[in-house]
Amino acid sequence: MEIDLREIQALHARYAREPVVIDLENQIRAIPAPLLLSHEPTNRPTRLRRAWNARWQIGHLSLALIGGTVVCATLGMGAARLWPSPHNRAINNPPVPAAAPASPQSEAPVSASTPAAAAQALNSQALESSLRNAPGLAVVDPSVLIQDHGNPRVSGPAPVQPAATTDEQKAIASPIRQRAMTSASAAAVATAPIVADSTPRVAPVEPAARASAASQASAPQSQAHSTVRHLVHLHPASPMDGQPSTADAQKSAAAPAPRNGDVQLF
Amino acid sequence: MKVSTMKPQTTLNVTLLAAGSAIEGNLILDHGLSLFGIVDGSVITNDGLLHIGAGGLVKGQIEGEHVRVDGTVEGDVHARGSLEINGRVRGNIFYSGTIRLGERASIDGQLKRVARELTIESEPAAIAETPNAQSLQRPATAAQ
Repeated sequence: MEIDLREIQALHARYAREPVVIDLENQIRAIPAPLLLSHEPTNRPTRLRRAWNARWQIGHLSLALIGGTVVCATLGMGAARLWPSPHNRAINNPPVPAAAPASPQSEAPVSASTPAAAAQALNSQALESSLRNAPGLAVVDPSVLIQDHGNPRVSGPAPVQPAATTDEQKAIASPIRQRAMTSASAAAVATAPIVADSTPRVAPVEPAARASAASQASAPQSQAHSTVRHLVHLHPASPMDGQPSTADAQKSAAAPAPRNGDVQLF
Repeated sequence: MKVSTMKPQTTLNVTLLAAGSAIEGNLILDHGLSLFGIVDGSVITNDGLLHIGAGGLVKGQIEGEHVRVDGTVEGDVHARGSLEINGRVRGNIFYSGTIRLGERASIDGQLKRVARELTIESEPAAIAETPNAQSLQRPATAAQ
């Protein structure tokens, strides 16, 4: 049997598979592709991409700046809100002068430059100490005294507010004593040659200063007792306000001796 | 993305086993085969045409995508695509595509159309138990 190779070849060609051609490049070129999927190499950044990156960096910087500004503004506003409150509290609620004798040791380190210290300078203790250091009232700053008495909140109810701890302090804070002190101060206004200021607010300080000058001659005593004694001596000294100040000072300097004996008995 | 292109196949790859040759053992190919000799074993082709020419003899099972039997097969025949028989088959026939019987077709076995996946492995026991299976022992005459 002869074999015809051509026939065999034709037979196999009939059953041979159709060659499959996948020409992706031509097919992709035929498809209208968008700009981002173009055939350009992806490593090289496009113009749009570069512009976007630059704007993104600028946006980062501006965002950081804006954030920092917002934080600083918030902190500043918070500080501005918090700052006046302690300042006003110190102005509106100065330390009560009558409460000073209750704790004299704790008030010692407070400086006289602050308003609170100015309020403390009005009590007899401060005046006594100032007189001890330097004779005369020149040590006391009159402007401080004016400032303090000009404050209506301090001048009015100040003697009534303190909580008296002992019987002596309660007696001092009683309305009868207050009335006596005001009458004595009114009398002192008429005769005081030292005070240059014509306002009657400064007057109540002078009898106290005079009494403290009188007590300066006596022996040094403890601070708590000195305040009490000063206020006690103030009352009997008030009827003698009509005399000149120098004689008054001499008389009051001689007066404390028997009183001291009374207080010691007490 | 890696793009691979497949070039068109220009040459036809076919194995020819001419008359006067004999192979003892299984023969497995990935392309077409034209057999005019004698093979004592199974012949399997994954692609192309498995052609048992006139005068060719296979003593075993044959399996291919397209099968054309003009000679003699003493075993089962598995055809996944098309099957043309114009010779003699002594065994069962499993096909999943089309079948064509020639004027010189002689089938001594059972003929069953199965799924494409089942053409790979024969199920002689299951076929024997099938009641509807037809035994084509008579020589086929021009079944086209």
